[in-house]
Amino acid sequence: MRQFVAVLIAGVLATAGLLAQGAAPQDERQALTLRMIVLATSEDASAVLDRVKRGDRFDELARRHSIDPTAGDGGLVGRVDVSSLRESVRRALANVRPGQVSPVAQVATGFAIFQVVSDAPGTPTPINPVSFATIAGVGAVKFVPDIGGLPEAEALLREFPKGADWNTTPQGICQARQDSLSAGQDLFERFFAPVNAQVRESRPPFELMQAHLGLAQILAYQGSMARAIEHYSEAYRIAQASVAAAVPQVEEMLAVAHLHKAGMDSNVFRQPNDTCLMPGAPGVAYAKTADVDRAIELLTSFLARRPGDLEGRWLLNASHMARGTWPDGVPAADRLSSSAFGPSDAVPRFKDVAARAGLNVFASAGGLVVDDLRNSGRFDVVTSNFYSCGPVRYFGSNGDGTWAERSAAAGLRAEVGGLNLVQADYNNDRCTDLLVMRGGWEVAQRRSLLKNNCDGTFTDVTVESGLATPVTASQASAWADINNDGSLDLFVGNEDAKAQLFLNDGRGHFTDIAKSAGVDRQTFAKGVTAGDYDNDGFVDFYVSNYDGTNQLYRNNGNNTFTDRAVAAGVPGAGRGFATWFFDYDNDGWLDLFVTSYFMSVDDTARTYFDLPHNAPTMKLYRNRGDGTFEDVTTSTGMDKVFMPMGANFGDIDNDGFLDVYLGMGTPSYASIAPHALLRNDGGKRFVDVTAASGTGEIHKGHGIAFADLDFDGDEDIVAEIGGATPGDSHAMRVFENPGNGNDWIALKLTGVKSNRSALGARITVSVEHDGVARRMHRQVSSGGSFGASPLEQHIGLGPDATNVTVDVWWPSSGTRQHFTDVVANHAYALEEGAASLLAIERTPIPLGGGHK
Amino acid sequence: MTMWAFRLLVALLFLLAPVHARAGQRTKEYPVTGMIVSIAPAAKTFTASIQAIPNFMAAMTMPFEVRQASELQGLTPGTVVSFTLVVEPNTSYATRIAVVPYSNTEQDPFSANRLKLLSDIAAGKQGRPAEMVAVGGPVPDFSLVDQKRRPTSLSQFRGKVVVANFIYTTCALPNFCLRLANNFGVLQKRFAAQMGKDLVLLTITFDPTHDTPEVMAQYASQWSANADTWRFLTGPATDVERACRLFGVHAFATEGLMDHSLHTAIIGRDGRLVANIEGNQFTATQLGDVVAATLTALPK
Repeated sequence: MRQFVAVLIAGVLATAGLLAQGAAPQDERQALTLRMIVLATSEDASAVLDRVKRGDRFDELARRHSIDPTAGDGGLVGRVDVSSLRESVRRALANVRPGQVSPVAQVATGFAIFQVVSDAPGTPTPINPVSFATIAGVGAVKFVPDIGGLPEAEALLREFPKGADWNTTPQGICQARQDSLSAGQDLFERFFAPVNAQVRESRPPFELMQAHLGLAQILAYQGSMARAIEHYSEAYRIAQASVAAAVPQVEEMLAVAHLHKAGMDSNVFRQPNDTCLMPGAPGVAYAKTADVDRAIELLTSFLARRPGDLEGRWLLNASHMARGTWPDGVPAADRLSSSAFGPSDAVPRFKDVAARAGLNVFASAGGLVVDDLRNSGRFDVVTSNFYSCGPVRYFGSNGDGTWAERSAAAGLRAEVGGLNLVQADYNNDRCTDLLVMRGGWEVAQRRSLLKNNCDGTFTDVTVESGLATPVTASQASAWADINNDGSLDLFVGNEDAKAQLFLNDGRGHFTDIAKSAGVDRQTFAKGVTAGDYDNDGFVDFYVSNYDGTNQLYRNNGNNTFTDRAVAAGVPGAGRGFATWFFDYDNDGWLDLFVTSYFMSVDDTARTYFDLPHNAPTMKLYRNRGDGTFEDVTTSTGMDKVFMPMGANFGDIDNDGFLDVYLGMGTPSYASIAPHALLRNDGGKRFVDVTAASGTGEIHKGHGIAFADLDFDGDEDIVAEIGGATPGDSHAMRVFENPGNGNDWIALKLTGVKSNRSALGARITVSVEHDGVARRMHRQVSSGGSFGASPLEQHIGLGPDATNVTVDVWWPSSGTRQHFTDVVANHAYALEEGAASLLAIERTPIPLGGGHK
Repeated sequence: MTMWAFRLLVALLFLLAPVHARAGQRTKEYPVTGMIVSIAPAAKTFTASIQAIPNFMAAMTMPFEVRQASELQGLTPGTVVSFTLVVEPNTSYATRIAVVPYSNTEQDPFSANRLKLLSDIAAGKQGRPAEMVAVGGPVPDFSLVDQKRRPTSLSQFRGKVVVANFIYTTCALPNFCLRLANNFGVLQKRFAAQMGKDLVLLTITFDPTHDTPEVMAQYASQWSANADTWRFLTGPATDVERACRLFGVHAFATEGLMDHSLHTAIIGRDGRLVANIEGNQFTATQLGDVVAATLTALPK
């Protein structure tokens, strides 16, 4: 009996032990009030930790030994949001109760121990920025190394002698680019000429290695991958022989160069196919895989030196996708799970028809406008080009599902360069004009205002309009009528100068009133968007900045604005890029979306490997209707980290809820990551349906537009794909919407008293389905800040929509219109003040010209 | 007792007490890495602020003997060295001293270095730029503007030790610029008694467009910097570039951020460059130890 009891007790204890191990609670506390002691070395930190454990007071030790500015306050940091902390600190703090002290954690300025003062919930308190920077996740982000030479090309552009007014004409900028690049390459090649062998031998190996890398990068910039690889390889050899610490980095550069070469040799940049999509389908491989094999070899070696490195693991998986051997070919420890990309059947597949449609424009990064620029009733396509010598290109619709280039006929031959494009009728002549923005990410370069002559041609009127000087670097601007005088004004966010607010005098001339308007702040602005977020009839602006807090400029109604970003709860996530106002939950109030752009493959990989992030996520802010917003990023599933650049929104399934498509990447050739199509589920959650939709393009996504190109009642997605370097140029993709069973309506608004483009007009479509009433709310705009959809609004109505009513409010004039018994599944022209809608006759055309 | 005094005491005990080496115990050798604080060739010793030697000694600053004075050739304050510490029954000495060359292969400085090389080649320059001051050489005067918009020249601090570092306030990588600036926060406390009287700290931006005096003042407030004794300098781009070139600081704007090199320079009371320490792989203690030696150094 005693034996039995003993066994029973042993069993109970063992089970309790097992349960205790397995049931260690996940630390889900959101806010902690902390003290911290930072020491320079881990030995010092361990020594201080020992003293805490022996009973010495934490605050006294902080005062005496901490190298952090909080030392003077006994190490008191304040209340922090746990999710904002770097992973090493979060791990150290897990399950540390108030009064207890954490193990040592590595931080940016050294090594730290923490004492939890309180874990009571609450909003974070202001914290010394030094202390925050040292423990914040954002300070631990691993940035992707540049492979592809953009920094080298930019340095050459800066260094080379140029005329004083080199940046005042597009052609001047192109010339400077070409000259600096060829001169730089020339000098490097002379350095490597046989006659200079003795000079080279006298240089230390580190310098020689860097010289090889420099030339490799310049060659890679231009897409000369075979020659680039020669020099990357030589740098690799030197590193292996003499600069051991550089080996992993150079190994990675060489691997990525091989992968890029394989893609070019397999022609996937000019003729993209399913190998350009993530996840890769088994058996689908590049045509030429010899270089992929070499990349895999190098990445395997890289991972042996840096086990578990997320960037290495991610690139290894991407290489196997290019090889057609993913996922099984990847060693289990490094493998990305096939479930990482979401279900393969969430939505039907979109097919790329760009080539058949004549829209597979081969270009580097650039902007995109899809709109009816000839008042033909059909949508034309215009792209701009980040590469200084890359032309602005105009594709006119043939009306049969194909487009033909007519750039020269349109008078655009002289227009080169420009990262972003946006359209609006600035002179109210009912023809839509174009604004080309230049200098984004670079140095100041002149923009171009292209006046539409209403005859299929454009004239560059930048100088006459007052928009030519001062010359600034920008890719962010928004057209809006700020004073409701019926003319469109222009807010320009700059990267190297104060923001500009150009007031339109109604006669095609602009004056910068930013100073008196109170918006003349200098930030690194990457996105500007317009929207009347408080529904007071005066349009407001949101400025998304790469270098800190964003601005929400509330229009005071008297040509002045007040920044309310912090008070309204929309500061952004620190490195803002694309942004827009949209009513994602159809409650009549404009919500706000802003991306977070950390150039980090490591942090993006964490999204798919399902690991904790260091970088902050993009932000979705729901308008409360009281002048403030609620951060609903997490509750809507938007708490993801990507590398989003071009982006826009539309309704991919006509259910009435606006979906989002994000183009991805950075200039580096290592930044291979899929675009993301996020479907809005009932205004409550955004679900990643990329894999199923077949829109997970891995190359660099810039201007994005949603447009019903083939008039079949659903929005297709046009994506300008191409990187920042000529060697990363790529064909544009046109993803044809496979269709759905829901109803829709398209409304082309024209202002009469208000600006002709109808920018800022507010639309509400009410429908009934099965006796339940629904409303869809939209504002007339081109969508997001990087990629422009047609100003004609396509609105999904959900299934079997009856009793369709359209209400329009024109804030500039105060006009309100109400249309009842509207027949769904048609396009209508809607003029301000008119008594009725005018049906636009359109028959669906086969997208790509009839080869279904 | 402060950490430093404690360390010094242990060091003295170690040096002076032969009891540490038991009779009959054989010679032991330890690999050591540290930063040179000062050298005394006549006495055949150098002082270094060394990292902890596992299972033997905590990190500390202490003098080391060498067998031959020639082993000290080429060593200057701030230089990082690796050497072997030989511990014999009745004595100890350092040998096989090697300078650890700074060739930072961390991503950011690696890239900045390459861009610098490229710019030099593009501008037709070879080798070390002419303007860069060599250790031991006189540092030319430069004039910038501090966080209170006061014109500030290096020459106004002649007779005091000046330590300078280079940052930009929007640096995305806190283990670079922030760590360097934070080192100065530690120095400001360690040398509280000497700040202003004998020691001045200068933190200079290489992004003057964004880092206006007001921005620098805001940045300085994070360490409660005394504006008279720890000056945060900016100014017209040409003036800033000139000051940066004196110390080999180069910075390149890249995609909204900056790739840049890391430097901390120590200038003696006589206006000569004592040390130009590259990178961030040293502690504020080591930097402070070199500064302390510079403060007490006798004029040559």
